[in-house]
Amino acid sequence: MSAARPTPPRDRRFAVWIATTALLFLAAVAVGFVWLPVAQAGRNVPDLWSAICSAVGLSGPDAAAPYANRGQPASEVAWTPATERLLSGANAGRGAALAAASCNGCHGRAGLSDDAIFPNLAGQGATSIYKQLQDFRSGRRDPAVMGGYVAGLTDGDVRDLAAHYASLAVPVVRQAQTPVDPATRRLVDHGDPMRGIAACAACHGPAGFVTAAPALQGQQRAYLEVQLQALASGARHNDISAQMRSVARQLTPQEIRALASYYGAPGP
Amino acid sequence: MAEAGPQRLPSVTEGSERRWARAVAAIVALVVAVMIYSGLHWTAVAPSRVEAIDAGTLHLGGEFMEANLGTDVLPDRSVVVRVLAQQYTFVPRCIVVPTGTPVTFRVTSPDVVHGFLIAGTNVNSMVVPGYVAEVRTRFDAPGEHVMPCHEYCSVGHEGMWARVRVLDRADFDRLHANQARASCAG
Amino acid sequence: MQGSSKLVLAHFWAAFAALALAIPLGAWQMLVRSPLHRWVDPERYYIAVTAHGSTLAYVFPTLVAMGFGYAVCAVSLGRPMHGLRLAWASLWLVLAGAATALLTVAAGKATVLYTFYPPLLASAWYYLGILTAIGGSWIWVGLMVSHFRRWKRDHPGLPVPLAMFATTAAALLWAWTSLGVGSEIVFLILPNAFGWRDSIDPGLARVLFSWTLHGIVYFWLMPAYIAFYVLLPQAAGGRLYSDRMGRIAFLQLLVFSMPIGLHHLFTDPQVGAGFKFLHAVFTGMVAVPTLLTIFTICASLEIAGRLRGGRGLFGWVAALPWDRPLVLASGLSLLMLGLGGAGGLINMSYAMNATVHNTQFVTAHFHLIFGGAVVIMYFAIAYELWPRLTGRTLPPALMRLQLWTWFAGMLVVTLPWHVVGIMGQPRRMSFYDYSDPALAPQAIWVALSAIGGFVLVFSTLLLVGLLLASHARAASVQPPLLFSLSLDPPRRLPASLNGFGVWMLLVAALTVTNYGFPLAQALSVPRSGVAPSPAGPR
Repeated sequence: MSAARPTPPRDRRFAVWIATTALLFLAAVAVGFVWLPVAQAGRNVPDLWSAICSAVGLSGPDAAAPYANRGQPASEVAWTPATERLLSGANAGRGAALAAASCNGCHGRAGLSDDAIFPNLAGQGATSIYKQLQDFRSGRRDPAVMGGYVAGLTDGDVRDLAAHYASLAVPVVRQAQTPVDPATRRLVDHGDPMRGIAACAACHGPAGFVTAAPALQGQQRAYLEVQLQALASGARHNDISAQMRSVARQLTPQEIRALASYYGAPGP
Repeated sequence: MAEAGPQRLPSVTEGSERRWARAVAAIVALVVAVMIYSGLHWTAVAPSRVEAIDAGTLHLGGEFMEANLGTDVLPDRSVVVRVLAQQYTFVPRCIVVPTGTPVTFRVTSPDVVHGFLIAGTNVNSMVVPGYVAEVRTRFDAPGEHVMPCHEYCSVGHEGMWARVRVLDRADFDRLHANQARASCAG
Repeated sequence: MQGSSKLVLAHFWAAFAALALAIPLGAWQMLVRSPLHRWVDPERYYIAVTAHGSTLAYVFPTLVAMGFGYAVCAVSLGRPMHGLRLAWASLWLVLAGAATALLTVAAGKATVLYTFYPPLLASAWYYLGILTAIGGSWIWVGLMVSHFRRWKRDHPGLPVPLAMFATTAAALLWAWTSLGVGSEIVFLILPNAFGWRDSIDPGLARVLFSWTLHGIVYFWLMPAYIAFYVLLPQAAGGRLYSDRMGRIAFLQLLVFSMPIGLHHLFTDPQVGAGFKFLHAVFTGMVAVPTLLTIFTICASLEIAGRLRGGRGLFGWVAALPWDRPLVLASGLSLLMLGLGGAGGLINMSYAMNATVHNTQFVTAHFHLIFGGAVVIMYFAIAYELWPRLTGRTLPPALMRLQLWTWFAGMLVVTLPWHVVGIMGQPRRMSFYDYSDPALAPQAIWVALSAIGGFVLVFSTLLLVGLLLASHARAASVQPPLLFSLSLDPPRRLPASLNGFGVWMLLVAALTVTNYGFPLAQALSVPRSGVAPSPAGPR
């Protein structure tokens, strides 16, 4: 950089160019913050000051269309820092004791159930189990079967149960009995973009993981099929902002069956 | 040029440079003038409302609750379409809008940056979680358009395609007027 | 080159090694998202995109700029470089940072693309790698400024040689513009990557990144422009039309390249339209130095052409020594600059940008202008420096073949690419369903582009091959590198054209006026923080 001595007074370039830049700036401001917003607002904006404010990006208290709280949230669970903090204090040992007291009867001592309708829980993501239990508790997921079992649980209990199951060994992936149909493989790895179906692998792994998207590999086949059908029909609707219903709706019954077979362990 | 000795050279070069500088100024001024013209006469507007929203709790209440998503007809017959962009779908996946009506899209995301364009139209916007993106437009003819996500939103990005179905105003009123929030998502 | 040869050579070898890694990745990407190939695992595609982008944005052009900068220091100032140890240290930092970042990407832990896109979050190693590479380049900035100042102190009142003046301008531009991405990484991303914070404001991050986004492409452009002014007229056998105009152009590039970054955020919701318009107008201003450069360079070439006997309005064009690689590359570069520049005018057109935003048009544009116009000049600079660095000549016919294939490949890749962009094909998808009637018309154009990718792979291999092969030849004495003489070399210059103090103040002032409010606004918006979203497999 040049030494910080003042420039010789005879060099007009500094003044000329800085003045030109300043003028350009002022002209751009005049057009961008006054002329254009006023011209574009038409009838919608009452006065000059509001037009300038809108160009600056300060939204008035106005203009957006009214709305109200409608319907019920799909789930009361929200992935906020507070929820993260709650989950970080989990005690898997305590969860094991809770599971032994009531869950293991249906879901198995190692988290692998004997009944095709009861899902395996071993190795499932903690966020996934946490969310489903909370949804049963709040009634956002049909409590017909699970309601009685979760009624007495606290938030801390739910958190500890989730940690317990997450710590169990993941179900061993069974050998494929029949070669995987390429169309099913394609759905799993690539989805069907024009039908709005993202790859299953993008949310459920291994390509990517979305919070609370359950692991599918080794899950009970019949359970998977029932759940996908319920999501497709809307009977199950605890997926936040219809994230799964949007996809399940696009699947044909044959595809649902094929995906359940692809991911699911064979029944007992 | 053959006569130009060292004394005349600066004036020759400076003269040509000054002429070119004037041409350059004219070119740049023309480009800016076209920008201004498009802003005035086509009302081509860049989004301008800086509106924040809590991304993590969108579904619990407020404007982007699930039951609020979709096409909403306002008392003045204009239309607001509320869309949620999330990994990896737009909700509603099939958006229905009428022709010849001011349409305002309001879009946000609970997770990462997305974006969308409606093919064959001038609708094109980023969707930044924590902010509400608003785009105003008008559809002149019925038809169906694809609406892809156009910003990388992690590994399922290529699966994120929605559709926009534009119906004649009359058809739209007939089919959807009774619904609080219309969509063709099925 | 007075003791700096090894240093400069090391930079160019590292740069071309990075290129040789990144170009095949690019060709593969073009192929697998074309109708010529079945769909691939999206994760692999996005890893490739991250690696390709990170290498070609943060590593390759930085190394070329640094290497060429050291060469300019060594040659134009009439005395050996100082600070060689620091210079080598900076190279090692750049390489170490690049390796760290790229290994993290290859392991699948940084599939966030070179633009980061928070709240997507990669492993901290990726960001630390990029930061280290940028930090290494800052040492280079310090060395350029130090050489500039020492020369001025030792030659009071004399004009700093144009090559050094321009290189210092480039260094200052880079230092200032890299603050944006540096701040984004240090203050927003790393705290989340380390787990110290659990939320990030993506709007603020995008505004900070945009601070860097345009300045960085002009930093990439500078070596090419410097070559136009100080190497090309000499190589063509003529004189530089005007030394002063060159300085003016470089000063304008320094001042206007950075405070225009919001034109990358035209459709973003976290910035007001007034600021978007302001940046669009100033983006128009940054076209000025390019247009001035085109005039000056064409005039310089005309002198060379007419000295060689060219007659008539355009006869001098044919008379130019097109067989010389630097002249050929410059001609091809100017053609691509014209095409790419036209695309740039569309991109910068404020609200009309909505017709092409985030379509493949944008990608096509910057591949043409950077990958085409700028990178071909990088090759030409390397060809010009090589004999002086290694004492070995390069085969002219192969150099010309390499340049022509690069040019042809670039056109085949990017021209159909612009077309699909106008058709509305979105960016960054690992595959497209061309069986859908909405996308079917795009298929042929994407296929054409993909073919061009392989021409570029060939051209890259040819480049590396002919440089490697030159070492098999015997070394011989080479003519020294001479920078172009201008028609009217200045004996004295006003301070405004011989220093940067006031101009850097103007840069700072424009940063405040153009970025101050948008940054403050993004900082002060409540509740806009979002939980980070770790990218890739757990």
